[in-house]
Amino acid sequence: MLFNSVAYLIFFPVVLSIYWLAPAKLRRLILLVASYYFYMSWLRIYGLLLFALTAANFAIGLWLSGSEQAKKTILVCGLAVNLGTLCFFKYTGFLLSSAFGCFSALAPDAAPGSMPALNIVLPLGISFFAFEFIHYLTDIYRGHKPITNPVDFALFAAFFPSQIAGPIKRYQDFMHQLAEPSRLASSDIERGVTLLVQGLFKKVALSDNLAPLVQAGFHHAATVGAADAWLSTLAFAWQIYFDFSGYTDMGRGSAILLGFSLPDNFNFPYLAANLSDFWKRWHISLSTWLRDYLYIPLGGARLGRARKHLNLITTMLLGGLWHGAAWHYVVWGAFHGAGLVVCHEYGELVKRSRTLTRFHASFTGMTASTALTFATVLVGWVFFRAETVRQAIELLGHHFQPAPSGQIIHLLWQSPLPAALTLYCLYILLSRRRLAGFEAGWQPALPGVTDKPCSRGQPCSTSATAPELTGIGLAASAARIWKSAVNSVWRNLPVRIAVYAGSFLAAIGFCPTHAEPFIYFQF
Amino acid sequence: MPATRLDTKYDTRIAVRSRRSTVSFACELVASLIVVAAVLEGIFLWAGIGEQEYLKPDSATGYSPMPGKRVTWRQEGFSQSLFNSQGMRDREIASDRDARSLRIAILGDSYVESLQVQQEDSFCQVLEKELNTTCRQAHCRVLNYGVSAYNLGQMYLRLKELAVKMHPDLVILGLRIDQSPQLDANPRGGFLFARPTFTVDAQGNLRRDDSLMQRWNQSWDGKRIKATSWLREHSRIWGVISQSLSSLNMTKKNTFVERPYTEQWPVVDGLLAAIEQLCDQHHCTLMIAALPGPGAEHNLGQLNLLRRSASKLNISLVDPLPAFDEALRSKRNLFFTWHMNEAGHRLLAQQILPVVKASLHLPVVSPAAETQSIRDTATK
Repeated sequence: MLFNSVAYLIFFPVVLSIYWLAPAKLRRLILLVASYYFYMSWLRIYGLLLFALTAANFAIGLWLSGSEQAKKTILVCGLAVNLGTLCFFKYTGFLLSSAFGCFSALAPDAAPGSMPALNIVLPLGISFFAFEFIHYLTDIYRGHKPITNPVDFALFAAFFPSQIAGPIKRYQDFMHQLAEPSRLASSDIERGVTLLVQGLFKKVALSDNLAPLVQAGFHHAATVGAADAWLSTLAFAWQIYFDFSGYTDMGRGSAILLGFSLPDNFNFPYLAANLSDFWKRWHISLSTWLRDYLYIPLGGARLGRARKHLNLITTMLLGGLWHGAAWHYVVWGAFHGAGLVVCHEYGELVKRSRTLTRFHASFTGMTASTALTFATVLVGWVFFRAETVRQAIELLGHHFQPAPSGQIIHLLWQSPLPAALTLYCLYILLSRRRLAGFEAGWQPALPGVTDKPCSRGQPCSTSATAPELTGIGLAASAARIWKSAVNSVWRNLPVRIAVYAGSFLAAIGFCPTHAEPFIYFQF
Repeated sequence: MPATRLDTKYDTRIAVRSRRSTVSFACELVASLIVVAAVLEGIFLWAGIGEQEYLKPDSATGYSPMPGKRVTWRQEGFSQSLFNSQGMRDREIASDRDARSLRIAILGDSYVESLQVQQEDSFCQVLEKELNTTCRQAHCRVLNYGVSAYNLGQMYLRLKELAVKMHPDLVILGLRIDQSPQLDANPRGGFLFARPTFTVDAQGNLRRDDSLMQRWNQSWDGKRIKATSWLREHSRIWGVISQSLSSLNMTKKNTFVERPYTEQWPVVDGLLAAIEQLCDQHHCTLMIAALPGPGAEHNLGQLNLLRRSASKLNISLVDPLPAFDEALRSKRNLFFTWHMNEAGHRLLAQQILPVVKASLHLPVVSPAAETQSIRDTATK
């Protein structure tokens, strides 16, 4: 059952109605049953795996909290259970095929003709709930209190709005919300519905319509011209953003309507001023998890500069591997790890140089940083999307090859994408919250450099030039006038109802005939 | 305490204010919805969304395309077309014609209508271009009378009601041989099956039966389609809603079982004879083009029956199957999922061209030259 399916359109309102009409003491159970129903709608056997892992982690958590002497051993056992399950389902094939490949390369005569086929079906969402279990056990080891109610724990593990593709929750936040009495204010209803409609539009109208352009470019990596290569790479950057953030929005919207708040996963990531900033804006729940449960336990930045760089690369490399059992994901992770090292080193350089500090605080500097960061992320995305490292390198090479192009531009003009993107931009301009987020989102955040970054539209106190100040001032005035106009119109509930209904209809209208699966489902 | 006159007045004012705010809320909501709908219609018009509802009920043939309707097709392939004032996926045609011009009417289903490719890439247009390039004696015009899901009975009626009025010199029936004739009445089939059905009586005469069509027109579905005809024709928002509801209905299982094609063949024979008679009356030549489906497995039994029927009535039959099979073997891609792509249409035009020229007594050049000419047309 997908969030953008007809089945969910029936499932969710039914669950919502039963949940709020039921007595408060039954609500957790109802939500738990609904979550298992949701998960088992994919494949029934998945439910057994989730149940088994939940039971095991619940028991290990209680054991861990009750034991003082063997805490480390118990934690290691718990990690082994979760990582072992994850590795079995996700990496067995990859490890065996890599080993087979090495063996074939080293002893081609001795190797069998082909690798025996393995039919291990990857359970949906296993990467996400395995990480939630690991976080739970680690935090108990660190002294936090365990969850003693099995229903609460099972609900934390199976909560359907975040079950399949995150965001990766923290159990303390979730339990805090469970402990509070359920309440649904009218503002929550509106926020929930907004996120659902917004997420649906991003997924079906934008991401799914970008998919054919991406497919055409990557499928013909060996023959595309420069224009098509750039177009398909840009298309993927936006496809994955709309796909994943759309899913997150729908999950968060569903959770809000059930009285829960899930962490946001995205904060205008393509406005990041550097790679470190990017990872504070992209898949935030994963990057904070990697920081808290991998980077910091490895030593973080506490053991010297060289060790810090090694820890960064290791963390990002494993983060890449988490995304998929294939070498191109490992390369993507390593690329970002190396990029973060460069970013941190450059940040140190900027700290020591007043010229560079002033430059990066200026509008020109901010723009240049944002553009360079985006270009770097684009290169990474080529490795992420390609099916092999070779295909990625081939496509990257074609970005600068003056071969004839036109197929993807042709596909672009045939698709309803230009109209859908225009509508989305209109929505951002009309939505106060999005507009405010957009303004706040574009702020430079050099690692450890600026304490009080300049924000767009605000005159900078350092070295902004006069033309820049005039331009910024005019833009700021225009933005203020637009904001007040939007606020006055948006204040009316009938206007908002009409816009939500129109957005839902637009999402259905722009939905292509063939729905694409959510990209992050494969992880 | 008993209510005072002041309390009553205050309550009345509250009630009036409350009614006014409800009315004002409703008015604001309606106004906002109208503005949003207008913006959406504009955006959908730009994007070509909601333009797939293009068939309307037709008392003669069951259904036919809406005249003047703009259609953007993305279900398979891509095209944007404007149906002319006669409900054909074609340019406007004058009823009078130049004495030196030749007209070829092609009837068929979605394979002829070819919404999956742009109009200029359909085999009808490729054929027309090729005829006019290679033949200087007369100006040729190929008229596309194809309509999605039409069966042979509807093709006969469309020829009778519409095509013969344009005085064609040649009529080509594009008949699929990868699917059964679909001449059986399907009472649960919905709009696309609400059409006149034909049977053959004991004396071998063709009998027309409109009862299924009339029953459907009186049904809830039929009344709904009629009541929303303006919206279907002009509103893209309605097109989106309608398309979404149709895709929901498509998940329902279709339990109707057609008779084998061999049992339907007497009706095919009767219809072919009626079409042949109609063409005789209007002094035009009749030709059949067997259209292959996407798979390599053709219904050879049906093709043989078609050959026999055509031979009995002295109708030319074009069989492009060997060419399509050859292309399939050399891994040329001629189909999207179900319908021909641009390459498939070019190949079909190439196969039909010599037979058309022979039928119209036009000079025939070498097949290689004609193939090259069609390829040149495609690359321009």
